[in-house]
Amino acid sequence: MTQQRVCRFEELEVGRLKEARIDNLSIVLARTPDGRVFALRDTCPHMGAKLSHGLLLEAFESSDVDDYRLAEDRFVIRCPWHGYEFALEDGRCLGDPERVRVRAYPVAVRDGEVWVERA
Amino acid sequence: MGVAEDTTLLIDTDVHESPPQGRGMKDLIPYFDPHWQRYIKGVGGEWQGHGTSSTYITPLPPYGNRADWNVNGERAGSTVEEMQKQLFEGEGVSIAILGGPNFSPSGLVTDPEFATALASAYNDYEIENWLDKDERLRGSVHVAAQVPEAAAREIDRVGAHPQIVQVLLPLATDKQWGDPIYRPIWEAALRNDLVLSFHHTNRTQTTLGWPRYFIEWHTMAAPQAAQNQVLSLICSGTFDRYPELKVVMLEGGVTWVHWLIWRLDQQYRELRQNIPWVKRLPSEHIRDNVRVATQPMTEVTTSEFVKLIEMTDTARCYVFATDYPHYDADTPRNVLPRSLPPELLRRIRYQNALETFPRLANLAN
Repeated sequence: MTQQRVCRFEELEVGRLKEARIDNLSIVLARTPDGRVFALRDTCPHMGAKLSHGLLLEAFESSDVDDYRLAEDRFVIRCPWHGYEFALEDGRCLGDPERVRVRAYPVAVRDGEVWVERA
Repeated sequence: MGVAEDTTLLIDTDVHESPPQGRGMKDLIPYFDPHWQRYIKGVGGEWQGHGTSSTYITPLPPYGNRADWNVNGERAGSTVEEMQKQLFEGEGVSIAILGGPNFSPSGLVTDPEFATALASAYNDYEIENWLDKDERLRGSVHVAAQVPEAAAREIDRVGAHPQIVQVLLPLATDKQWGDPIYRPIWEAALRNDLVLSFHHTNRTQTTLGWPRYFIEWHTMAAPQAAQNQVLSLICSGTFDRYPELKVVMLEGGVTWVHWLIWRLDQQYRELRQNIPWVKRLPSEHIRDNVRVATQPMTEVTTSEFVKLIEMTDTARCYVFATDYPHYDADTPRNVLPRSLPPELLRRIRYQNALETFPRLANLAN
């Protein structure tokens, strides 16, 4: 396993997605309002769209009809093509977490630099 | 499909009994409170009847029944004795679940108090004139769902009868069945160990309204409405809130289920954020909570039918039905051939029903 530096932390805007590369692999970086950084493979497993062209949004928490609370600490990337949502933490699709998943990569921030670990 | 005889348990989930005097409901007069009796008798006021939105020319008068079942011109399904002879002896049915004559108090658009009284009167009529006369008969609680609290009280009132197994509701209503206003009914059904069964009435339209001809309505209205209502129940989180609730869709055909599974799972993956209270794939809810009566069975070969079931993992979803005594009733020797895989045949004949209806579970012994 190796860690590679992909960008400076300050290059990541809160609430925006950033496309990056590790060797020949495209990844998408996401910085959440609480300062965490996540990395997913930048390819939707549904139809191959680039997730970095999608939206970074709070996930919904809900327990009943008409309950649309926005989670404070859970975020998703919504695919730009059909709206599939992927959890930043593990890349699982919220609509079908057992069968649809995008690869998630560990991220570290050291000395203002963002490092992504590729297994 | 071929001809075969089978003597194992056969549970018929869609059987129509009819009060002999027909849709005027005069047979129910003894079961109404006196003030409501007046409006059936036409004394001091008059109920104008169920109303009919469907005015189609239908193929087999009188009554829309299979002609050879209308013995001596009498309405088939109007006496226990004829039903015993034609359904139990003639078709080999072991247990018949009665759903009434496709009247529905829930479909009455006026006089909700009368609709509630009509449901109660029918339930008492059904118990005394049918269920008490043959232990092989099972029955429905009819309710006026537009008054949910009263409907729940009616379920509690008659739901304890040991032969009552379901709450019967119309496929189409002003508010779709996923609406939370109906929760008192679902909760009453659950606490009485009853399932919810849905059947079309003459008020069930296609999504485009009333088509010009009966063939169009008969092709499309029930399967469309069944899909819409399953969709509504799932998307409003009914099965997330009530995971033990079972619903049975009657007389809408069988092969819409596969299309709905594919389409709705696809849409859920894309649009889950629209209904975040739904926590499982719709297909999982369908497999666990939705049952579909086989009549009218799609006329495909046995192997084609089996392939469809295998493609969608829906072997648990089908329960047998004849739709006795209507003209297009299915006869088991034709739609349940021995060429079906034995496990699937067993499931459709009785096992799925035993697992669906808590009140039938004792038949497994």
